[in-house]
Amino acid sequence: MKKNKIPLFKINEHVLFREQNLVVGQIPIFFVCIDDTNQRYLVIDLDFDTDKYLIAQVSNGIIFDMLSAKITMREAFSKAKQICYLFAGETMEEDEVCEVVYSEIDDEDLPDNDAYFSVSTYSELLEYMKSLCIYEVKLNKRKIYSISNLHLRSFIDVMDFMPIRGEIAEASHKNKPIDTFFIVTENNRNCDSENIYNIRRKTTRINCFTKEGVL
Amino acid sequence: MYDDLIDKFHDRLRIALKNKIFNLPTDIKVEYAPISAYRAVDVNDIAEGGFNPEAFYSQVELKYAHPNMRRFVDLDENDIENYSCSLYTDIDKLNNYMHLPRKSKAVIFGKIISEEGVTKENFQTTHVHWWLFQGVHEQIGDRFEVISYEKK
Repeated sequence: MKKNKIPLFKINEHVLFREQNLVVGQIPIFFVCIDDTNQRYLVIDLDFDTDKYLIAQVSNGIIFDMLSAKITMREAFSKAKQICYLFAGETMEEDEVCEVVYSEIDDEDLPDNDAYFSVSTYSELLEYMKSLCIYEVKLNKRKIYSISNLHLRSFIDVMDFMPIRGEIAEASHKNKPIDTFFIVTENNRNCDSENIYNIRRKTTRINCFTKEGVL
Repeated sequence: MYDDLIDKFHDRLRIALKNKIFNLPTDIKVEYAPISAYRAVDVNDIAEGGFNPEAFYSQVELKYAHPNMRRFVDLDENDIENYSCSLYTDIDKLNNYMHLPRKSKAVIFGKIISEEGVTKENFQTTHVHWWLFQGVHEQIGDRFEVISYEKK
């Protein structure tokens, strides 16, 4: 699904556009929006008759973890940076936005407890998930690379989307792809939201290097 | 191709096809055996003894039936998929829908038949696009039943 050019909502002076539908009944009832600063939001269309929404500002990692079924849909909302109810008016300017804290949200307005998102194999959501998978790699506490796992050998099982020991990932340096493949040697799943992994160059076992040589 | 079908479709789809906004996909099924499938609907579309025709409306048809609703403001009317009635042949594909908060939601089950529209089926996702003919929305409900119902 391409990012829609028509603005849908405005939150804190940021205009939100629909980026990806996640669940569609008669209409999309659960979807991701993105704003003009590339911040993403989970949106639930709560009620057809009243045009009422629950909107949660979340990190890419939270969205990915939810779509990977590592956290429940409800947990994704509990980890939001900011949550609000939005009552849509006839125009965006007439919308009523009410910011809330997670504990104030009506239980009936959240996904069921213990409900994990189920994504179909080979669906367009897999491609969307890959677009969220950017990992920062640090050497000596300095950010060196951004790794995209677009070229993981196996992605049929969505649980394999997270780099795990033994996977090969293609790397980029300063946004330019480099002809080097890394094997992830440590899966630090308990690390912070930046998903930092230790990696080793495939042949020399040196931690990192660039085309110009070893760092 | 399929020029003879255009005049049979519901108003919104027929107008879009005649205006060449898009063409019918070349891989649609015009003649097919009945397909058993599930659909997520709003409980308000369930009436005593049957269904509100809106239960089988496409998103575009819903937009024009509810013109003041903001949720349709970014609906892409150049995408033929938004003119279809969406169903799934695998009920598990509606699990996400059933776990999401909605004031009123239901899942219905029934048969898709070629006399009422053309289909395009994705066998990997089990999703079925059903582009309906004009005037069939009222009678479709005769072959569907509610299998899951929740109203808060």
